[in-house]
Amino acid sequence: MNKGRVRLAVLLALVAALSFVAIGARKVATKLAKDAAQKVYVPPGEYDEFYAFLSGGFNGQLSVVGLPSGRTLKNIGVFSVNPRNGYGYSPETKPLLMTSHGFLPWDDTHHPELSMTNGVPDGRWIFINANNTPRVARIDLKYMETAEIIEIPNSAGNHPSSFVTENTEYITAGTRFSVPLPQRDIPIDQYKGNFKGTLSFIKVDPDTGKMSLAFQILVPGFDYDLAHCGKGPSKDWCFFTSYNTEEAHTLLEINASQHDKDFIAAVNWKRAEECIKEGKYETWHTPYAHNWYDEKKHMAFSEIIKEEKVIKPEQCPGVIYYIPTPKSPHGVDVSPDGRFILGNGKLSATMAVHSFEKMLKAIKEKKFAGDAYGIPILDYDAVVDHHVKNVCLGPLHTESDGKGYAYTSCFISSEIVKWKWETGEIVDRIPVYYSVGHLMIPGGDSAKPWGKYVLALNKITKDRYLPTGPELNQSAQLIDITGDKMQLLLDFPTLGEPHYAQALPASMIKDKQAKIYNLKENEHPYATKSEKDVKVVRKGNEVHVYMTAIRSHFVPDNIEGVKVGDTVYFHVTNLEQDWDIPHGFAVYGADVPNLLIMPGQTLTLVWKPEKPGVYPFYCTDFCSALHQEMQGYVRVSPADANPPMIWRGGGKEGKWIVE
Amino acid sequence: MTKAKMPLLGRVLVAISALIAISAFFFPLWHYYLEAPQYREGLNMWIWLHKLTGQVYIINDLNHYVGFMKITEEMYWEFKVLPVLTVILTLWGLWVAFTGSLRAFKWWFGYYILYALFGLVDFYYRLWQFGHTVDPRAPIRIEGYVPPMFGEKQFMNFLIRSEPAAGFYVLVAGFLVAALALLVTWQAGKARRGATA
Repeated sequence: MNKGRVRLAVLLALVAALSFVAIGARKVATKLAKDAAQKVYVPPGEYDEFYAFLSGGFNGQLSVVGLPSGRTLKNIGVFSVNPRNGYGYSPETKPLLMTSHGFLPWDDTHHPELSMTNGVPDGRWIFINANNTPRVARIDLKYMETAEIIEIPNSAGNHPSSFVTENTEYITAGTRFSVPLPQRDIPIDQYKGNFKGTLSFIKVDPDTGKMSLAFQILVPGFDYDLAHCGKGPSKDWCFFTSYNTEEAHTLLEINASQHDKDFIAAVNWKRAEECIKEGKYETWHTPYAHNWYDEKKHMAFSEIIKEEKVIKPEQCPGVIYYIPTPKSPHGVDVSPDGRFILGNGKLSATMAVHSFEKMLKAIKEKKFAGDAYGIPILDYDAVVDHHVKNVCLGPLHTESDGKGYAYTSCFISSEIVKWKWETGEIVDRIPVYYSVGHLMIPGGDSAKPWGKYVLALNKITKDRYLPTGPELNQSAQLIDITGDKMQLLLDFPTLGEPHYAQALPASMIKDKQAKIYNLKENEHPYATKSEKDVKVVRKGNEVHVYMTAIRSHFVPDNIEGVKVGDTVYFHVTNLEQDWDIPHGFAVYGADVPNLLIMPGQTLTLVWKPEKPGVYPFYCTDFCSALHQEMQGYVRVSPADANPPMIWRGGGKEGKWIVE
Repeated sequence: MTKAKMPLLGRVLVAISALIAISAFFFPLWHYYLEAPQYREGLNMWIWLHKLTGQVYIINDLNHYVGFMKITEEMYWEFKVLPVLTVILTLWGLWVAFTGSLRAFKWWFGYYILYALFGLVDFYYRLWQFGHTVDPRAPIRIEGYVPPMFGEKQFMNFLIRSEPAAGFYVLVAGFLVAALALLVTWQAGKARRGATA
C-alpha cells in the first residue's frame, strides 16, 4: 500500500469516528429533551399532579395552574374586577371590593399562602395580600372563589403578608411604605421618627375561616418587606425582614442601601396575646372594611369597623426583637424543622442563617447590641449560626425540599442555587430565564414539603416565547429536583406577575371541588327557583326582573314597560343543576360586563337605559346546541310615555307587579 | 553631501502609512462585549477615535447599581485630542513623503511610536480609573475592579470581553508600513554608505 492510501484510510476512519461521536452526542441531547418531555406530559384527559396557585401581581388575581404541565386552569378575581364573570361589577360581588376609601376595582396581589394544620397545607383556604391598599383575602378552595377580604388599617404597602402561623391561628400583614401613624398631614422630609409601620396579625376562625384583625404592633418606620412564621420549636414567632433602616424618604435605591445590615423583626405572637389579655394596648379608631361572601345568600356584605388594638413595644416587652441581617434582606425563610431563620440579603453575596435556639438564648442573656426606638437589637454574632458564602448575586427567596436542602433564587445572576440547610454548603446551581424573583416548591415553606419540583417565577421574559409587542407575559420554569442535579423541564408564560406561589397535591382538594350551587339551598333574596316564579316588579323607578336561565331560553325574554330614567335589575338565576353549564348574560349598551352565572347561582346585572328603543340581551356562554337562540328583548319607552307593563317567555305572558 | 534624503520607495510607504492612519476614523478601535444570563444576546460598546457607539445607555444603566461612573463622550478629552493627533500623524507623514527629509522622517516615526504608546497607556489608565472611581454610596459595593483590556474577565453576573477592533488593526497596519519604510530607508542608507566606502 502506498502512503497516500494509508493517509486516506486514516482520514476516513477519523471522519467515521467523529460522526459516531456527533450522533452519540445528539442522541444524548435528544434523550434529555425526551426525558424532560415525558416528565411534564399529562396525557389528554388525565390530570396534573399538583394544583399551583400563582399570584397575578398587577392583575390583582390568582392563577390556578396545573403542575407539571403548566396549564392554566382558572384565573380567580380577588382584588380586581373580572369582566370574564362580572366579579366586582355585580351587586352580589361589589361589596367584596369595598374599603375605607370606597369601592376599589384593583390591587396588586403578591403572596398567596395556603392554610396550614401542623405546619402543613391542609387544602381549606388560600390567603393572598393586596399591596397597594392594604388588604388580605381568603379564597375558598372548594369554590375557588374569593370568600372574604379584610382591610388592614394603620398601614401602607401591605407586602410582608399573607403568611400564616403553624395552625393558621394568624395571618401576617405589615407595612412596607411607612406613613405617619395615625395618618396626618405632615411634610415628607419629617419622615424620621414620625413615619411608622405596623406588624398586624389577623385571626382566622378555625371552623369558618372568618378573619378578624387581632392586633397591630406599632414599629419604627422601616420598610417591612417579607415574612414567614415559625414552625415546630419556633411556632410562636413570626419573622419580618426590613430594609430602609436608614429611614430615607427619597431616592431609596441609594439612600436606603447604606447600612451594611438591616433587621429581621422577630415577633412573639404568644407574648402579644398575653399583652392583649393584660390590657397592654391602645385602642385606635381608624376605619377599615371587612367584607365577606355569604355562600347561601349568594351575596357579599361589607361592614366598616372602627376599632383596632395597637400594641406599643415599650408597653409589651418581649414582643419584638431585631436581628441584624446583611444587607437589605428581601425574603425571610424558616427551615422545615423550624430551627433556622434565613435572611436573603439581596445586596450581599453572603446569606446569614440564624439559629432560633441561639436567638432565644441571646434574648435570655440580654445579648443586645443597642436598640432601635426602644426595640432591642440582638447581637448578630450571638444569633447567627452559619453563613452561606458566595451563594450568588441578589439572593431573594429560599424554599425547602424536605430532604435537608434549601433552594435560593438569585435575581441578578438569574439562577437557583441548591445548598444544605445544616452547613450552608452549596451543592448545585441552575440558570433560569431571566431574573428570578420568588421560587416555589409544593409545600416548600411548610414543615413537610413535597420536594419534587421547584418553579422559578421570573421577572424578565425577553426572548423566551414568540414576541408579542412590547408587553410580554412573565415566565416560569419548572425544574425537577428529585435527582442530585436540578433539571429544567418546562418553560411557560404566566398571567400577570406571579410574585409568590403555593402548590399542593391535587388529590388533597380535587374531589372536594364544588360542581354546582345547590338550587334548593339558594337563599338569594332575588332568586327565582323555577320558571313559574318569574315576575317583574316595579318599585318607583326601580324595575326588578326575576329571571331564569336554562338551556336554551331566558324567562322572561320579552320585557315591555321600562322607561328612560328607570334602573333595571336583572336578577338571573341559572336553573341548571348539571356540572359546567353556566349561562352568560349581557345587555346591549350596559356599562358593566356580562354575568357568568354558575348552575344554581343567582347574579344581578344593573342597567340604566338612556334612550328609547328595543334592546336585545343574550347568553354569552356557549351553553348548548341552541345557544344562539338564547336571546331576548327589552323595550325602553320615553320617560313620559305610558307603555303596557308586560313580559313574555316560556310560552307565557305576564303582567308586572307594581309596588 | 547635502541633507540625507529618503529613497523613493520609503517615501511612498510613508505616504501610504499616513493615509492608512487617517482611515482609522472609519473603524472602531476597541470592542467591549458583555454577556450575562439575562443578556444572552450580549451588549456591545465600541470605542472610536472620536466617539462611542453601541448600547452604552444600557451599560450605564446597569453600572449605576455598583456606582461606576456614567460613560459619556464628554467625560474623556481623548475623544477630542486623539483625532487631532491622528490628523497630525497623517499630515506630517504626507509632508515627510513630499520632502523626503530623512531627519523629518525619523522624528515622524518617533511621533508614531509615542502616539501608539500614549493611546495604549492612556487607555489602561482610564480603565484603572474607571474601576477605582466608584460612588461610595452605591447600593452594591465592589472592590477595585479594573475591566479587562485584552481578553475576558468575569464581573458579577457579566462576562466581559475586551478586544481590539478594526480601527486598531488599521493603525497597527499603518505602523507596520511606516516600519517597512524605516527598513527600506535604512537599507538604502546602508547601501549608499557601502557604495561610498
